[in-house]
Amino acid sequence: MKPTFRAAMTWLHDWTGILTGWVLLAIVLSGTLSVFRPEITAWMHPELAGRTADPVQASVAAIDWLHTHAPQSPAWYLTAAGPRAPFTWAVWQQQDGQFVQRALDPSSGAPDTIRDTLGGEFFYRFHFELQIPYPFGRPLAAIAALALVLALVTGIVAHRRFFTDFFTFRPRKGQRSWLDAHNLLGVTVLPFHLIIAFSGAVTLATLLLPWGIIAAYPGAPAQFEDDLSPAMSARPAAGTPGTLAPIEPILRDAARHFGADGIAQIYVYNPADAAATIIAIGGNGTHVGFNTHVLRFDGTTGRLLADYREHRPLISASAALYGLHVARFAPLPTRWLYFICGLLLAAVIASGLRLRTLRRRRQGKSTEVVERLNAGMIAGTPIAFAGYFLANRLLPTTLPDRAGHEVQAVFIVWGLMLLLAIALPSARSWRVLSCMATLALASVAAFSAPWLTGVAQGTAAVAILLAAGFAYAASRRQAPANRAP
Amino acid sequence: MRMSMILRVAVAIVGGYAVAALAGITLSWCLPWSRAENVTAGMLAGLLLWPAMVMMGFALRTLLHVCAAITGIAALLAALALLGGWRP
Repeated sequence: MKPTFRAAMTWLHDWTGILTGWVLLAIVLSGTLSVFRPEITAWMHPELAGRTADPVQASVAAIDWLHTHAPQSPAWYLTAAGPRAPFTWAVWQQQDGQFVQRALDPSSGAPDTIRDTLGGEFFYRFHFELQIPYPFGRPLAAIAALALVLALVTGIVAHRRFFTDFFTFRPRKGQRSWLDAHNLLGVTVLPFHLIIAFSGAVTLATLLLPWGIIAAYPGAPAQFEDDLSPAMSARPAAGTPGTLAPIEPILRDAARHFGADGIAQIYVYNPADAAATIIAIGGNGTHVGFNTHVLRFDGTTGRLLADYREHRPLISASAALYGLHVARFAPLPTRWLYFICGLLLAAVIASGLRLRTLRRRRQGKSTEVVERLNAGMIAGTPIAFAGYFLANRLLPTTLPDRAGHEVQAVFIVWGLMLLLAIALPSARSWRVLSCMATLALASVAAFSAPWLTGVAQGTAAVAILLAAGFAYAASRRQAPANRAP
Repeated sequence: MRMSMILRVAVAIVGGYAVAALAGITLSWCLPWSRAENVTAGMLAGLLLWPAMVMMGFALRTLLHVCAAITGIAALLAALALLGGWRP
């Protein structure tokens, strides 16, 4: 066993990083993009560019459309339109039970005039489900989040001179430069990284550690959800047909209750049943806590059945941690900070992975396979994600299951990049993939044309900056220490 | 990797999870607030305890120390839960 505490923690830091680095990189990058989930969805619906939407009016239109086209669905889940999203995001079930997710036009409520794409929802879902079949993705993402907590805490211990090193950067010195960069980036945004990692685990806590629920609610674990958010649960269906009350007065009433917080989500349960229920969830206009104000209405009469505001200190704290992670409260500048800190976390992970192979190479051990895979993941992931944006513009808008094909494009590109990286010697694969990343990202910037909306400008700016970074990486001569011995 | 290291990894991860799970059960039974609050507190504590236990699993000198520490903490938590009225 290693002799000292710090040596043991360094060992743990290295191995946690090696085993989870690639998965964490994909989770961190997709999570970073999810900060701008509605904005990315807006980018992917260029036909909605320049439109504005009133949350209540757009939701009324959406519910009217669903009333005609999906009355059989057991529930309609709406995320209301707003300043960030000129569309209603709706999830419902088709006759055959298949779930459908679509952006609905803010004035007609119909999905027909706008292209079929998951938009930012893809990154959001991938961030914690990893495109792995239910139910395995989420626990894996939760474990990865805790592994990140572990890597960060052990990293602090492993880091010998926490503050002196902060002012140390020795460029063009191979491994030393990578270590300095890893430390500098890691220390700078450490508080953000710790909170985002731990709060990420909090969002999936019930999956990871359900034992308290099982012990405290013997035989009825679902009761926990009801206790946690008493207004959120629907009444059981009556089994007799019913008619939905006029929706606009209900939503106006809800908007009045929420005030400056705004309406975030509307769930309509059993819409064609005599016991239809409408749940309205308040937004985060004035507070961090997530889903802390919920209203429940009788769907057939429009009567308010429950108005629940979270005041229990512990649940509020947990909701605040959740809220810090999903950043719905964040105004635009704060969201950009989240985005930048997320990219920095990706850089810390990537430099850590790189550092490991450089160190082993200096010890005379072969690292070629790992280094090729590093290139495939570190440069390949941004290429695959850029490929998603490109597929959105290149696939014909009339293609059946268009949204599914866009997602397939991500994994096809990802697989191709990994194969390419494995096939080439690592020094070459870094260069080739960096060139391809530059090209892909520059194309994303070009496809943001005509750069009239804030979303298009922001996307183009980020893509150009990242493309410049990859172009620099591709052009740089390999430092002597980086060469294979 | 030597056998002792593999064992240490297994004990730290599995034992750490067991301690986190037991902490969730214990707090859900022994805290003075409502059920939902107790359970939430237990889950948050478990999320903190698991990485902490893994760190402890590598910080202690020998594997025997690790096993003893994790068993001790788990036994303590289980005893508290049983005193609080929990029946497995």
